[in-house]
Amino acid sequence: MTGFEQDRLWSGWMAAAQDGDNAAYARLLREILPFLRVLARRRCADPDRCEDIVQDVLLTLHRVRHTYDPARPFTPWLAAICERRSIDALRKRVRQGAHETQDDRAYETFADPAANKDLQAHDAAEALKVMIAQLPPGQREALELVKVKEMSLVEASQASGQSVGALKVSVHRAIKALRLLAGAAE
Amino acid sequence: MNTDDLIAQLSAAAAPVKRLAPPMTRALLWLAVIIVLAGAPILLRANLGVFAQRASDPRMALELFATLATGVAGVIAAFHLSLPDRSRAWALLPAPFVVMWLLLTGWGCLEFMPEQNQRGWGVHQSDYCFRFLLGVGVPLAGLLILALRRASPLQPRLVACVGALGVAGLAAFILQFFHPFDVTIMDLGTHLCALAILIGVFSLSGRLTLSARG
Repeated sequence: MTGFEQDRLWSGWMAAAQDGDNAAYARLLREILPFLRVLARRRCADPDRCEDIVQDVLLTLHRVRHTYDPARPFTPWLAAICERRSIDALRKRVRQGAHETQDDRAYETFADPAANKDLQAHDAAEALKVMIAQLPPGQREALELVKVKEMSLVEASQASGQSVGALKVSVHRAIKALRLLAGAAE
Repeated sequence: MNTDDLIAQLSAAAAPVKRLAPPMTRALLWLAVIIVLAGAPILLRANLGVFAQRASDPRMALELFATLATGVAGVIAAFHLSLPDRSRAWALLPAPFVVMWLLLTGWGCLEFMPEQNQRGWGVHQSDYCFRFLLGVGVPLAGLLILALRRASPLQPRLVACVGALGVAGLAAFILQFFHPFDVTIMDLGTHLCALAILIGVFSLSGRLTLSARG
C-alpha cells in the first residue's frame, strides 16, 4: 500500500469516527500506533517515555478529533499532533530535570517520623555489619560469639578455642575499633 | 495504563462530533459579528464627516488600511494557527501590516511635531485613548478566545499572541472613528502601551484559556 492510499484509508476511518463509528475509530487508533511510535522515537530514546508520548497523542487526538477536515490529508494532521506532544514531553522533562532531584530512598520514607524508625534501625544494622566485617578475624569472632550471639565467656571459649582472657581482650579491642570506625563514618 | 486498554476506552467513548468549519469561514464569521457589534456605536456616536475628511489624506488612508489589515490578518492567522496541521508561517501574515502601521503612525507623529512643540508635551487626551483601547480590546479578546477555544489549539500561546495582535489592530482601527485628531508622540506612546498590555495579558491568559488540556 502506498503512503497516499494509506492516508486515504486513515482519513476515511477518521471521518467515520467523527460520525460516531466506534469500530472504525478503534481500528484507526490501532493502525496508527506503529507510525506514532516511529515519530515519538525520533524525539525520545527511552521506550517507556515513547509509549507515554504515544498515549498522550492518542488522548489529544481524541480531544481534538472534531478539528480534522476530511477534505485534507490525515497524516500531516496526525504528525503535527505527535510532533507537538513530543516537544511538550521534552520540555517537561527538561523542566523537571532543572528543578527536581531523583532520590529513590525518598519513596521508602514516610511523613510521620515514627514510621521511619524501622528503616533507620535497618540502616544502622547494615552499617554495623559492614564495620564488623572490617575487624581482624580474632576480634570479629570474639565479638560475634559474646555480643551478637550473646554466649557466656566460657561457652565462647569452648566454641572458639580461645582462652577466656583472650576473648575479653579481643571483645574490648573490637568495641574500641568499632567506636573509631563509627566516628570516622560520621 | 496499557495502550491497548486506552484505545479500547477511547473508542468506546467516542461520540459523534461536529466538525469545525474551515478557519477562513470561522474568521470571517467572527469579523462579521464584530462589524455588527462595533458598527452600531460607530454609526450612532462617531463623527463620520470628520473621519471621512481625515481619511481623504493619503497618509491617513494608508494608516487606516494598515491598522485594519493588521486586525483582520491577525484574526485570520489566529484561526488558522489554532488547527494542528496548519503552518506556523501563518503567524507572519500580520507582520507586514504591523510594520506599515507603525511606520505610518511614526511618520504622522513627525509631521505633527511642530504643532506638538507649540501645544506642549502634555498627555492631553491620551488617557482617553488608553481607556478606549483597553475598553474595546478586552471584550474583543474575550470574544476571540470564545471562538478559538473550540479548536483546542495545541500551541495556545502562539495563537493567543497572534490573535491579540489582531484584536489590538481592530481596537486601534475603531478608535480612529472617535479620535478626530492626528496622533502625537504622546498618543503613540499611550497607544503602544495599551496594545502591549492587551497583547501581553491575552498571550499569558491564552495558555490557560485556549490550551487543549484545559
